[in-house]
Amino acid sequence: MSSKDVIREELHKEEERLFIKEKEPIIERASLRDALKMLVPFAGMAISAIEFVSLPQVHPLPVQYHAETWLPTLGVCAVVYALFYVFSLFVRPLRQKVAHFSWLIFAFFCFFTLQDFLTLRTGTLKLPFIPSPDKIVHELIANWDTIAMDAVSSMTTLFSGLVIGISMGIVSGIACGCVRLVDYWINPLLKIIGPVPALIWMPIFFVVFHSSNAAALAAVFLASWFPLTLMISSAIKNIDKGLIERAETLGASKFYIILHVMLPNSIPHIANALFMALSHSFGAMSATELCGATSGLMFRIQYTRVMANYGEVFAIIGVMIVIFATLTAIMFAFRNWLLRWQKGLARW
Amino acid sequence: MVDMDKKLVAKGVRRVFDDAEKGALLALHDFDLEAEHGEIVALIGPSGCGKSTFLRLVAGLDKAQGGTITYGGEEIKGPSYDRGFVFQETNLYPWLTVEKNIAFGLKARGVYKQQKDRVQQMIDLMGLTGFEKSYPHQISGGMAARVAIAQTFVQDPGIILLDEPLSALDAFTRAIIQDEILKMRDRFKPIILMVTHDIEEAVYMADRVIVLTPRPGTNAGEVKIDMPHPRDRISPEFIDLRHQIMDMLEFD
Repeated sequence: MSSKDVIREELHKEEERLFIKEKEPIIERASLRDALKMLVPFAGMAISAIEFVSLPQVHPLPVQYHAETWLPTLGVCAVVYALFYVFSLFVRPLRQKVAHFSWLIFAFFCFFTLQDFLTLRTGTLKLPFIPSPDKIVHELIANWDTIAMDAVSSMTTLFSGLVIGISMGIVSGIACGCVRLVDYWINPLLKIIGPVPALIWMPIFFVVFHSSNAAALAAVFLASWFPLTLMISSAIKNIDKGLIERAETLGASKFYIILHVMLPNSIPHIANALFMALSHSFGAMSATELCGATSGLMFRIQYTRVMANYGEVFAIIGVMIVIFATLTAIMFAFRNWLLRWQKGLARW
Repeated sequence: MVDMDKKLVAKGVRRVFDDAEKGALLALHDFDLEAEHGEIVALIGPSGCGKSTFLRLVAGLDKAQGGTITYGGEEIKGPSYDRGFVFQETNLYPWLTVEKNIAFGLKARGVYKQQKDRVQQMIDLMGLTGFEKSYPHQISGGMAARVAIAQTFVQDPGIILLDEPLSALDAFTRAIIQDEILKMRDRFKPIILMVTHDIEEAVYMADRVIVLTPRPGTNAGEVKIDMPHPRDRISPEFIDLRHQIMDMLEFD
């Protein structure tokens, strides 16, 4: 081996040491410290249960109310968390998550304890406007069928609007970025209509579509189509020319460049646009359901509020939080997967 | 396979840039060049003399306003995989792994299935083994330059245009990659045109060095380098050639 080969070998080893990380094992037993830390949420549940059993109820107004769902709820929570706990003792990635969230889960139960104390136990927060956690769970269970139907209705609107809006946004974004003629006609539309909230078109949508559901669909569509078109077209227009020229000298056709250079290059922007689309369409959907719809979660909130059933109002709000947070989490997981090639990606 | 008898011939090439402030800017004027397969021709000259412009014209990324550039008798009309370009900025596709970056051209032309083995061959040849699945941000600048070179050579183009691809590297890595390019030349025998600011690099690698005048660039002279490879960078002959080119570059 010549001296150059030796140097080359050394450089190569150095690169490998620097850039190829060793994989950490997935199955690994927890340290005592982690095992104890992950017990904290049980303490939160215990505090809530003790408070619930030991303190007397002030006379619940306006009707006598037997609080009987909170203890079973805590029981279910304890069983579910116990499952997580057992797996976390051995599965490293899961353990990192569970250990990280343990104090937050603890605080979560403390919050409900406080809510119970201020409502059922002392009456500081007035019933029926602020119900106890027990009442909320009770209403959720009692009305789960209507709530589920409204959730399905809302989600159907949301998803159909999103699917149409996002796919058309991708197409029109690419078209605007690549074809000057399309850009000429669509760009002013984006600039004028884009920044305006989709909601202000509601009166027109109602008139045009004669149906509140179609109007909701249109609002969701607009809320998701706009950010995608805008972000993709600007990403394509601002692409580093070098990336395209490189592809040209490698023998790529125009069409191949659009699909394999321009589109992947705009993925970071698409990911941001998806986040905007999702949050805007939640708003658009909720607002359309408030005015004139006959189904949907937001409609149900309005309806039960008029009926003064605040337990159910809070239950539906809880359901909406869970649904929107889950959708957003899925969206971000998808984004992280899409952007796995990006350096120093800010994780959500 | 590349037809070894094809020649690259440029005659009277002229390129004018329209500049809003300074008016028309003549970058390249009446420039001639001829090159054969297996030959490395270095273009050297002061900044802004149109060396890179000429490479872009050969690649078909830009159009000349006068003169002709032909390869194998055919006029160059647009970019083609047969005239590979290694750019100064090694901006690889960040969303593709090393392996997929190298395979990009083969896939774009739809010949990946038939020529799959070439990718692994190229990875081994350029010392990238073990980094196939790494993304560009995970590898060093030297590695990235190797990937960019492999990306072009894997297509076995007739002409390879090197636009200072090594200028951002440290002297050490640079010397190693220079040898790797020479190795690739021996193997594939393309026409290699390289633009460089580094006289030593030109004398070390090229068979001929073409010196350009300041803007508008045109032929100022040519130096033949007849030393066998590997060349000794501190031999009197080598240093003498460096001086010779240095003298030619002193314009007033």
